Amino acid sequence: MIGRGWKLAALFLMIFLMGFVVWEIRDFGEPSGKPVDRDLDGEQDVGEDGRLVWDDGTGQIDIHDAETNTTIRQDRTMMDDAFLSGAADPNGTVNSNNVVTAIVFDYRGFDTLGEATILFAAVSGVLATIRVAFPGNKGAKGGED
Amino acid sequence: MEEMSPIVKTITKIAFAPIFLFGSYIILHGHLTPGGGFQGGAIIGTLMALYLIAFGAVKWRKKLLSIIESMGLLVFIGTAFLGLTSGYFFFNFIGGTGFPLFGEKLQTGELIDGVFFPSNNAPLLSSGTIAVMNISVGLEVIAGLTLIIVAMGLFAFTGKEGGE
Repeated sequence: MIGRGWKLAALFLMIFLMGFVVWEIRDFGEPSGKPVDRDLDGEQDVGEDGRLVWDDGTGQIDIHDAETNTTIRQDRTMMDDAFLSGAADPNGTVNSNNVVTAIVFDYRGFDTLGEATILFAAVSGVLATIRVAFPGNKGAKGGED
Repeated sequence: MEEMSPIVKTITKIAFAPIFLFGSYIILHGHLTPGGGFQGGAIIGTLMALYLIAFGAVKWRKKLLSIIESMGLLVFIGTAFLGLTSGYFFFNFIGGTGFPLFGEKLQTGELIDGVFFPSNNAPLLSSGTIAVMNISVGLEVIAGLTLIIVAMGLFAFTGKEGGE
C-alpha cells in the first residue's frame, strides 16, 4: 500500500502541474483580419422578412464554393480568424489541414483530455462493479487469464 | 456464451477485415479527413462486439487490453506535457518542423481578405502531435470498448472469466 504522505505528495504535484499548465496558456495574439463591427450606425436594421440585417461590407466573409460556383456571405469573428488562419498555416504551429481536428486535439485539447479520462474512468468503473457483483470468478481477485 | 449459427460466423469472418480496415482508416487519417480516434475506435469496438456475439467465449487477452488502454491515455497526456518543453501545454512541437514522422509541412494556400484558405492537398505524415494523439486516443477507445463489452458479455452472463 502507498503511504499517506506519498498520496499527499502526488496530490500536490498534480495541483502544481495543473496550475502550471493553465498558466502557460496559448497566446492568440492579434487577429489576422479586421475586427467585426456589426452595427455601424448604432441601431439594428430590420429587413423585409423581419430579421435583423447586419451592415453590409463590414466584418463579413465570402466563402466561395468552387463546385457550384456560389458565394455565401457570413459574419466573421476574431475567433474564426484565429482558427482558420492559425490551424492550416504552413508556417504556423498547429499545421493541420483538418481544422476540426486541430480544434479538438490542439486548441481544445483540455476538452479531449477530459473525454479520454472519462472513458478510462468508465471502463475502470464497469470492470470494478462487475468484479464486485460476481465475486466467485477469478477476476474478483484481480488476476488475469 | 454459446456460439451462433454457421451463417453468422461465416458472415463475421467475411466482414471482419473490411470493418477493421475501415476503422483503421478512420483513425489513421483522422488528421486529414472527417473522423478521428473516438469514431474509428468506436467502429473497431463494434467489430469486437460482433466477434464476441458470433464466436462466444473465446480467450480474450484482458491484461493486454488493459495495458493498451492505459498506454493510450499515458501517451496522450505525455504528448501534451512534452509541449511544455518548447511552448505551452498541447503545443504542437512536431508539426511543420520537418521531422520524419508527422513533421511534413502543409502546402501554401491562398490569403483572401485576411483569412487563410488552405490548400486541400495535405501530406499524410503531417500535423504533428495531432496525429499522434489521434492514434493514441483510437487505441484507448478500442481497448476500452472491447474491455467493457467483454466484461459485460462474459462476466455478467456466465459468471466466470472467458476462456473456458
